[in-house]
Amino acid sequence: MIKRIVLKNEFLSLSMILLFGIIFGIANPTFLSLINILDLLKMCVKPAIFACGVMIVLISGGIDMSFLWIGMFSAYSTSKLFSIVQANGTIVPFAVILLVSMFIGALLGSINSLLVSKFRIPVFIATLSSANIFMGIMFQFVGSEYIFPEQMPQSMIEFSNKLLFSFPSQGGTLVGLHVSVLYAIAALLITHLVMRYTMMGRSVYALGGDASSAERVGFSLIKTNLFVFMMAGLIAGLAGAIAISNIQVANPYDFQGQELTVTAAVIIGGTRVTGGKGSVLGVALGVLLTNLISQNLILVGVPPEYNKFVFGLLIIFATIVQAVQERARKALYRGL
Amino acid sequence: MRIIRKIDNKTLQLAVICVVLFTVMAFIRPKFTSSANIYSMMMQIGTSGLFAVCIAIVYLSRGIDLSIISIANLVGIICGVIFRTALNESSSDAEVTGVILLCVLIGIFIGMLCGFINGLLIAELGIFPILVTLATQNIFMGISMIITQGRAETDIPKSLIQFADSSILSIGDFRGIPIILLLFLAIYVSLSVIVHKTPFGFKLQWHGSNSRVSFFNAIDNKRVIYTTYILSGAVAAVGGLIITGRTGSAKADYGGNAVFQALLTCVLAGISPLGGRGKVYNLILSLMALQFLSTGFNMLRISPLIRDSLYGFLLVFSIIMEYLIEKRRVNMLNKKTMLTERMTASRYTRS
Repeated sequence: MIKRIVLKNEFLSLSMILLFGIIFGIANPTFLSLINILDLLKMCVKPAIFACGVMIVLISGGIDMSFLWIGMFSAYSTSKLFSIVQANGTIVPFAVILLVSMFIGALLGSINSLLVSKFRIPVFIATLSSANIFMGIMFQFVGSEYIFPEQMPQSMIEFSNKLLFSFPSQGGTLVGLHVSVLYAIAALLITHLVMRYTMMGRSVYALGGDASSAERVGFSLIKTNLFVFMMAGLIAGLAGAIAISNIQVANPYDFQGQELTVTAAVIIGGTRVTGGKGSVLGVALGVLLTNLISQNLILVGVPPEYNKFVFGLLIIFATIVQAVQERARKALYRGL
Repeated sequence: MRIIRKIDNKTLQLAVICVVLFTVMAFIRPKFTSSANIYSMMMQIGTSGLFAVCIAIVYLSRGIDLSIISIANLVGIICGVIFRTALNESSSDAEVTGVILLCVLIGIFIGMLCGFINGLLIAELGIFPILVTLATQNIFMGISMIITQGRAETDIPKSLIQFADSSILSIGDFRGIPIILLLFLAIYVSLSVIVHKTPFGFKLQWHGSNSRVSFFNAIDNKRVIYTTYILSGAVAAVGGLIITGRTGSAKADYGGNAVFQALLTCVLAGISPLGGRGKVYNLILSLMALQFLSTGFNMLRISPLIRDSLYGFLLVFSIIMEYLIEKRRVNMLNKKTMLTERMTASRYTRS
């Protein structure tokens, strides 16, 4: 029993989080201060929500490279749309903004699904090119200028200032748990429930495990593919809207080049690259671990130039441990 | 009809695309055919082509190498450091040449070493290439960052810069063929021969199309992986030296979208990322097509972001075309044979 828990990937991530937490805590006590931890949680919100979508595509057996541009496209066009609406005197509630952004994201996701299931383009290539297409369409037809806090929809600004509970810190500023953390937890929980307990979610695992077997059992590959990419797009739209609200500025270049950071976090969390395996808990821990390390290296006195180096080593380390675990697990079950 | 079928379908397609693009661009902008422009396009093909060759051989083995640009920059930076420490104002010409030659050797060695690390992780631990090279990309770039602390190495000897800018066969106005293009062509031709005419190339493609079958045919898969990534690293190192010579400096984050361009060039040339399919010699045509497109867009003053997005369209379009052609071919076959079901069942591919 203990052996089985130890061989779980989530156990590894959790113990690494604790290990690094203790190392950082000893090296610099500020790390363990409430402010720093609350800040870390807030920083994790964006990658955690994006990671849900990445995980779904990864479980279905493909690597998604378009999620950041889907997120940016939907969030940017939504905030642009509602900033114009607001200039005409209508205040829109935050829920509407989120829903519109998610809707646009799902639409863009269905384009990916069309490329993948109708034209049989490998997911990596299809999403790499669709990311470029979405980017071009956004810059050409929606706009490429920043939207500053003054023009941003009021409800997004309000959202970014909302704290769940707060208390004054020593400096006099208010410190508290940001409300977007709740949204992230909700997104993780819903993804978990959908992937674990619905037929659609299980079909994604089946598709990733073995496509032709899944088809023979009776799953419709086209439907499953559509579900995977619409869900991923929807989540990306949500993540984009929340991320833009959190920084209060819609900067179209903001997410550029973070695809692999999020994907790496998902993989460190135990999702198998060839599909068929992965859990939301693992992904959440993976995101927490990567952010914990990349945000706090500077606190323990490592110069920022070392960031990339350490990040690369972390990916290698996590995947090596996974490979070793996989072997040990196979040996364990063979023994049964 | 039979003659057309005899020529590799993809080659013909690409040749048509190249000719069409060239004529259209020349028609819209007469400056496009000026000798200065052609010279600069040749220079650019020489640099971007090397990275495309790297990706092509790795693609054929059903892998991917995201770390090539980091390897190139690392090599450039290490050479920059050597130049800075070994040379000064008073060094003689012979000394400078010696140090440059030494740097070329060291650079290629470092490239091979980086490739060896990739191969080691992929072959021995069985980690997926995309993950390994993603990590090593960060590691190599991290090492460059640590060496330079984010600054550029600029002490590159003049003779190297002059060499990178030199050309042969210059006639009057026309500056001739740049030495960089010749270097690229040499590497490109020899790698095409290696991939398509030698036992190693055969093993590489076999491993790419089905590694289990190649294993049972007594092919040393591990050795194939090592050789592939070491080759890719060495070519990337040459690319790094060329970038250093052309720009006269080396920095950790040069060539941000070079990898994407290289991926695009390969897919456009019909080299499948699913391994084992495609012809390396088609690369030059897709390189030319993309170069015409990007230079043309520059001349038409279309912003680079739109250009990137058109690359995306082009990629999707070319794959869809290929799919439709393939479908038609299969349909034609179906009329003759009754193998429909077996073919469609085995053709469902994912990645």
